Amino acid sequence: MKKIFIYLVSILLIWATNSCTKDFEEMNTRKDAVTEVNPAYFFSGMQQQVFANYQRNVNLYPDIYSQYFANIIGGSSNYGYVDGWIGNQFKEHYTEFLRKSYNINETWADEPTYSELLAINEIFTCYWWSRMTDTYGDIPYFDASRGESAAYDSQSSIYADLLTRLEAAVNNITGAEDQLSYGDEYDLIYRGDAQKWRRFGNSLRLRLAMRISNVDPTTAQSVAAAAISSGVMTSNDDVAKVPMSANGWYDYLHQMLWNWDNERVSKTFTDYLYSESSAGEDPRAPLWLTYKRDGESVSKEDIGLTEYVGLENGYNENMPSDRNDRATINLVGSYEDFSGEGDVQMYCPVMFYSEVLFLQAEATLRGWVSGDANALYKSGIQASMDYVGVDATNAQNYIDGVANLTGSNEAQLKSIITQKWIANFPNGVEAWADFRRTDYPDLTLPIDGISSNATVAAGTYVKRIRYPDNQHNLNQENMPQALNSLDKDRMDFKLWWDVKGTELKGTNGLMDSNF
Amino acid sequence: MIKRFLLILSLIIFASLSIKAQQEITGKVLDENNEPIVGANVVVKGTTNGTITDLDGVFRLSAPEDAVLLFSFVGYTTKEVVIAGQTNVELVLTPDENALDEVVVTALGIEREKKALGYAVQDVKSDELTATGDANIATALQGKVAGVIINQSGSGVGGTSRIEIRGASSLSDNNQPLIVVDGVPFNSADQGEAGIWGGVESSGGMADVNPQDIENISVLKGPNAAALYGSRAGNGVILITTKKGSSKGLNINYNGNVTISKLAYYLDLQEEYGQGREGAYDRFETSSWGPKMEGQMLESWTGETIPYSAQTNRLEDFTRTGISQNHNVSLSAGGEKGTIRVSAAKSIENGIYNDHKVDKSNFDLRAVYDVTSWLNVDAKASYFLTKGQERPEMGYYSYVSYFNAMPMNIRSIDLQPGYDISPTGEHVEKLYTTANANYRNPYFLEAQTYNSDERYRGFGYLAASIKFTDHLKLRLKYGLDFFREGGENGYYYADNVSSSRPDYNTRQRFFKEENAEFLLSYNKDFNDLSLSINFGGNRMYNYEQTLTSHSGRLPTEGNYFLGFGSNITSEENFIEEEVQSLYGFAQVGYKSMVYLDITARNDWSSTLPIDNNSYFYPSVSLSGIISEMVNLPDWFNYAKVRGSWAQVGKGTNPYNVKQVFTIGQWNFDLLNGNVPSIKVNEDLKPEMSSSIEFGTDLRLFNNRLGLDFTYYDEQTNNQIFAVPTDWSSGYDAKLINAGLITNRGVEILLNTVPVKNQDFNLEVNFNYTKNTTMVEELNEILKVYDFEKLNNGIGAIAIEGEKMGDIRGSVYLRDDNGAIIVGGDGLPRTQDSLVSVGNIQPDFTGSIMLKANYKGFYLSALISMQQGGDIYSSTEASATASGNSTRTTANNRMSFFYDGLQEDGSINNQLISAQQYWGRISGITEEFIYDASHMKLREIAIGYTFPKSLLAKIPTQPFNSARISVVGRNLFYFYKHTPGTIPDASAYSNSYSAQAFDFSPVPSTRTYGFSINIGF
Repeated sequence: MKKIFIYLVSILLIWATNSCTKDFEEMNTRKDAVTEVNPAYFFSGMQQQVFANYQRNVNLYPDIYSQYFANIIGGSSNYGYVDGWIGNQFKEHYTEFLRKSYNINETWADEPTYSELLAINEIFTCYWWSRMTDTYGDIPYFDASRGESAAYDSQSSIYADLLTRLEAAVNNITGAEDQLSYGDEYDLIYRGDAQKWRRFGNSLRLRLAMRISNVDPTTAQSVAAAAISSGVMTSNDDVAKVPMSANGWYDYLHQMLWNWDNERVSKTFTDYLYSESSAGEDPRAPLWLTYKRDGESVSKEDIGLTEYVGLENGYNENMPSDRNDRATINLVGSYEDFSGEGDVQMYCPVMFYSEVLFLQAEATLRGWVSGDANALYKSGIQASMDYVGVDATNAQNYIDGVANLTGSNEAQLKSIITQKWIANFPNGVEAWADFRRTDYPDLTLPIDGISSNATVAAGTYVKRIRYPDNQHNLNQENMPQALNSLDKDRMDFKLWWDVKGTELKGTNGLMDSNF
Repeated sequence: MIKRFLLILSLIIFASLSIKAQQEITGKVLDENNEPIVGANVVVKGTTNGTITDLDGVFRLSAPEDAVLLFSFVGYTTKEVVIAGQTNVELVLTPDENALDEVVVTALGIEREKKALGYAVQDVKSDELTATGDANIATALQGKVAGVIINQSGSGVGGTSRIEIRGASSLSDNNQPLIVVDGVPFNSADQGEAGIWGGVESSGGMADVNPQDIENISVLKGPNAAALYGSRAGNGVILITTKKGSSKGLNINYNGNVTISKLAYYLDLQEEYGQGREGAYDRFETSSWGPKMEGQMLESWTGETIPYSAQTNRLEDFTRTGISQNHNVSLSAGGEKGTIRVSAAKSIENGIYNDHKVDKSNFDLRAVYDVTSWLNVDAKASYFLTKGQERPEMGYYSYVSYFNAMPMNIRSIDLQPGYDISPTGEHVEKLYTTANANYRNPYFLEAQTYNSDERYRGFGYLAASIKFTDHLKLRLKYGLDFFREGGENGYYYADNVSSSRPDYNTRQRFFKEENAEFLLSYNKDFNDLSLSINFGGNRMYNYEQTLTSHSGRLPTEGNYFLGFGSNITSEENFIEEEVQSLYGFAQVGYKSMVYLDITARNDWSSTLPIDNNSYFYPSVSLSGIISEMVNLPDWFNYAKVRGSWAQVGKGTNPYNVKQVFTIGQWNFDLLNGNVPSIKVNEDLKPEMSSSIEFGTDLRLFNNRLGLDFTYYDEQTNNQIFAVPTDWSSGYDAKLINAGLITNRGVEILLNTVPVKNQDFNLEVNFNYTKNTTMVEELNEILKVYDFEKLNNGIGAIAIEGEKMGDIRGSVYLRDDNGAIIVGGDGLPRTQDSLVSVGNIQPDFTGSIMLKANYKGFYLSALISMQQGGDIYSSTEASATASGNSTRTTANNRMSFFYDGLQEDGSINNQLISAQQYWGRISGITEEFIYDASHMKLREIAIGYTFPKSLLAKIPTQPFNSARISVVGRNLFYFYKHTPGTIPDASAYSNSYSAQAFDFSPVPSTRTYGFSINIGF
């Protein structure tokens, strides 16, 4: 028995000494994770991400504020703010998108053959930065997403930096033969075509330059001129849009307007489809719009109507009982961005070619570049007609019925922005930004008034989104002083480039602030 | 050596036998009911000469004429009888109410005398657990142990329960105690996947255990008791000891019960008004703001013209009577050298929703054998098969939620069977409005959703105990718990809510945990001192792998498998963890008066950073038996005081210390890189909790009154949890070590025996628990911690410096005098920010257990109660928005001027309708906060035990024992304050924050049945 005892104790000692902890580090490392990711895997995700959670991030705010769409069940139309909705965009930008973008830069920084890919990442990253700052104003920028709380940077300094970065990025797309590409798989927007990215980069410079037209016209002029001479979009083939997978999960307009049945097209928008040309109905209307009856799509003719009529914006308590019968978007027509094709359900617009033509028309009107503003204005309408798929005769009839640019600069700008607003449908983000800058076209205040919880003065329009609760709770000390409390952080606070409130529009329907 | 020892022993015995003149003595040993006691020990005092009684209680023994015989039996007072020449002795043993030598199972499965413990341990015996035939021991334990709060979630049969011992201590809601079966940790992780927005709940490990296999459950309540289980015991330990075979020959036993459960408690709804808006009928409206229902003939949503009247039985129509049955057969056998017990059990529980069923099978084998005089082998093997199907959807969108929101005139018959068949053969939901997430036909949803799951589980151990000398022992043990779980779920039909239906999802999960341990023990008594020194080690390794696959949208109904899907995706998940431990503990006892315990343990956890992965924690406890030290009056039978201090360290979850990226397939079949939103922490330190505990045990009046009092103070600090972080840092949350949570409380057990005589015995026991959980500290920037919440922010929170578990919600906007401010619309306004409107912690909880025996009849009843604590009736809030709650009928729904002031101080002059008013009220949280106090009859059983004399009259005497009883559970509430729903079993899951809501996804039931128990 003693022998057994000694034997057992030895076993125990062996067990005790052998069971060391040296494999703990390996054990505590995830098997289903990596420490480095091929940047292409980040890039396609980033492209889709700017439209992910579309309802909360975009649709309930810019899409409604631009009056492309109107709620049929109450919601954000009255300028209320729900933190879990658009606050989410702030979160996604900093905690996902930006970290992925940095990662691409860090992984490929020292690879000479990747400089175009880095430039493309830069252009796209600047695009989302511009959306972010145009939503909030001052935001954390230079030190953001580096692991610690970041300071807020002024919108003017962000704009200056974005313009510098974009210039550098487009100049880095040289077409050199040794440059690698994201490939037609992982680049969902341009399928690896670096030259299209370059033209988009310049078009984005033009868009941002125009955004600051009223606050820093000198910079705006020089950037716009440089961008146009460097080469902006030249055709509808250059349109920047993100495909939504027909087999994947998306909350895009088809969900809000059809499956979930939360919204209809705004009446403000449909009214403009019948008022801008002596030819009558805008021929894009039946391609964009339809009616929903018993869950099916029917044309206005099918149900004996003469127009597509949307719903007034801003109903809360007095929602009309025929709200469900108002016009909605046409998912089964020939407009490909809505109807999709193959494994693409729909496309989300980043920038239309028509927008670039309207931007050039405005640049010409402002005298920044030489050219024929009226011709550019008409070709902007034409480009949109072509893009939506209007046949040539109908398009010509409509355009012929649109008055030539005439009158004061403000009057001409109003015409340009009105047609630009129609053509930008359904790009609510851009349309809302244009409206805040120029106060055109004529939109309407919420019909049931402003929500008692909204921080927008009665009789005025919403001008920005307030910072999310997360920032108020955890980063308030870094916020601009004018906004660093829930009381002060108002949604009628004008952004740096927004110089005047729409309510100050003259009785002639014109502002005095755009020139 | 052994042989020599035996030789010496037999020589001594022989010598003692040969000295005195011997005579044969026969006799019979009876219990207090004059039934024979089988297996009682009869020993000649001062010798090892003895025997045990046979099946008839009869013994036969040779002893000297002047011998003194000692009669003993477990649970009975030992008696001495002076033979004085008698040759026939018959005596009655009386139960030992002192139970001073009561033995309880403590950490590492070590049995100790209760009096020697310096901390509170409470145990629950088998018959108390199985009295009413509850198949789930988690719910069967409810109300039976002071300091332990068990709340069922509202998930019906096979659902989850929340078990909290001495309060919640964790901000990451890791509060469930460790479950240990016969010394081996038993995975108890519930498969609670439900969140506030849905998912199903299915009970995990604890419900696998067959209540009939349990000998007793001992609850170690704090770190003091649990110091030796280490990391995972910080929330207390539930030690389950299963039955062993009996050494008294062969026993066969059958237990069975059948119970039925019926819908009993659900939200009160009004019966006056039906479908419409602002008093006008509209057959497509989604709420009950229409005209009064007086049976008038109106065109309904189906196009039929039918009487417009209240439909009050819709939930009854939708539910069924759930019939459940449990059967258990056990066989036990044994002799001097060893015992064996096998048992087989089958339990089928049917829920009140159609096809909701949980079916459990269970086989258990336990064998203990003395291989030699120095080697004992103990082995257990258990197999569990648990199958569930059609577990109901929890959360905000349950079947019940749709009934609560449905206009009161909508008929069940029009909703059934939930769908129309389209010309192409597809099932299309039929409803009075366009279906979306807020409006569904519950019949359709029931038909549309499917889920099933199966868990195959093996559990067991092999232990060897080696006796080197009488004082030195070594125990080696290897325990294994593993299971494979599979399940599928999805939607059979397409619907309007999501474009990804129909679909099919499947999951596989494998889990195993191994525990290898040794324990070297030295025990010796020196005159007045008893000494025990132990040294041991444990290596715990666990591994878990989960694979989940989704079909994406299926092109048509009818085929449900992955390959048919349009967007097949899969995720896998691994968890691997190891903890190595060494520990020592020692006990010193002096004259059965004073006992001192010291423990020390060091753990090495794989989950912590290499530099911080070793942590040490000690405990010390002292107990003094006052009644042994001083002379107390006769009526003062026993008095003990005890105190202890302990620490427990804790690791974290795996993979919390290294930042990584994940990759998965996303849209267009492209790989997608993800950046995890939680910032890991490379400097994590172990969590620590420490506690102090004092208590006393008193027994008075011939043990007719017993009082057990405990005060404790526990602190948990350095908690590892994720805190929300400033998004501009690039992360949504980060892991930190922070926080200080305290739990202070009092536990009182009062045992009384008001009546006790030959025929009638009445025992009434009271449990009282008062616990307060305080959030003393969070961290520098985080002052409020959010648990899961609704979209509008309503949910449970932890505020630094306050009681944990405040319910946050909206309140009226009031002026300085408390008058409510109305807006320009004439409706009451709410404050901009959410504030605390209640707290989920009760002031105290308690229970009364009553046991009465009259001859063969017995009655046991358990009444449980809670005082204080709040609950938010989100069900009533949504039923108020839709005009269905009873409160919405006030004042005949006349338009009125709300009694409030406008912002400028003037009287409100805007007329509002009832619909407008209640629509606003439904969004004001404080209106729906209810006091969760209640008292209910939780369990009752009335039965009869057939006397042996009667069973003996049956030809061939097939039965050894027989008992029948009728049982009931949740029969009624003496009082409660919630509007029809119940405050104690309505949560959508067993998470902390779920306790704040009365969702009752499955309405609570009343259960009745009968139970029989037969011994062969």
